[in-house]
Amino acid sequence: MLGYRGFTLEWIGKGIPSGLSQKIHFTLDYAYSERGIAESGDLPVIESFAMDHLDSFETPKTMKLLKKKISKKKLKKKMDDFHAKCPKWKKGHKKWYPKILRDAYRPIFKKPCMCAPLPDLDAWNADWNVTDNNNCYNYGTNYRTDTFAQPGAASGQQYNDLSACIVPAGNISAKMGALSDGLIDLPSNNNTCPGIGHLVALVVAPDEDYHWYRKGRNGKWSHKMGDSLATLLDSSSSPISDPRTADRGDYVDFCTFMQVTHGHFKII
Amino acid sequence: MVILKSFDLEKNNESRLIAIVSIFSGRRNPEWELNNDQKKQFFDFWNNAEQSPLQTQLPATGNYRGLRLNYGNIRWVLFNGTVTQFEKKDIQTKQDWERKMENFILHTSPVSVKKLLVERKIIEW
Repeated sequence: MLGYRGFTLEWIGKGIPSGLSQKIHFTLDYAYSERGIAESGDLPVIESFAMDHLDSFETPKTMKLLKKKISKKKLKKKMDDFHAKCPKWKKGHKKWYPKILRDAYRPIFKKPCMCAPLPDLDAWNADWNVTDNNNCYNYGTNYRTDTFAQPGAASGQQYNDLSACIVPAGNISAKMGALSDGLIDLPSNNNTCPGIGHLVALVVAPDEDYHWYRKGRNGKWSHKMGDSLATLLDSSSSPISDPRTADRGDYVDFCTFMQVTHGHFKII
Repeated sequence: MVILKSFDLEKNNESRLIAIVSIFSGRRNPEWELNNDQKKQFFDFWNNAEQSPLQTQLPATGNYRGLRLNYGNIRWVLFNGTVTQFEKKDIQTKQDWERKMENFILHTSPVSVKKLLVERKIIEW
């Protein structure tokens, strides 16, 4: 369907409140964001608000030409036409309507965890050379080095204190090492996939070791303990929906969620 | 058909026998080299052990996830009563009654590693 197709609300600038998407598109009966698609009847409310405040909106540079051409009256007519025609169009395409819209918006609005790796256990488990020489940090970042990669080693800031998630000033924690490798700390993340890259979680067995989990494209978590096989299960053999609540064995301290931006980090 | 081969230390005495115990996830696991007497004793254990139809299954989680021996191109994995040898495409598994081979190898570890294994209740002192 060409012409008017709804409203896109975009948060410009920093400081997006947690739980909100940066960009949401409202169309008839549905709303889309990078988190996916949801039923929504908010379009008439947003249209009404927009019409009342049209002059006070900041127009994106690319839309300035359009703004001059379309008057408030014409825009109202386009909205009315959309509301009149859309149900008829939907009636004929009832079965396919959500899917068609979802496909149409796919290039703009990513599915949740779209950029996350698949839990490709075979790639890590089928060849013992790979299994033996790649640890949880390799698997978490989805980067095979065959070196049993250590946080901070690539950047000369390898951890030297595994006593806890936060270590005394002057010492280097596993998290600090990972930050220096290029991972991004997401302390307020609530088990949601970042728009770019994928989500990992860091945990610590105090004074002994650290461990990483990674969130896959299907939203499920997986991990690889050292030179052991990669798995979808926790220490109680249960699937992992959230590493904060999973049975982590000795890795009792949950440190943080972090973002792995593909191509923007280095590990050895 | 599985070809059962005895391990001849004389013919294979050029390589170092390295033991690696899987207890860490991020950190490198402790590893140590067995001396000639220990090597001979392990090969005696191996040569005299009975064949097992089931390959050693290493666990993916837990604070002890088995033991690995590397000897040139030959590799053994030991856990919970079986030992499997991988040599190129040949795989053979033997029974390790009462985990004698596994415990023997674990007890060849240096004192610092042995302390760790005792703390984790993997072996007794």
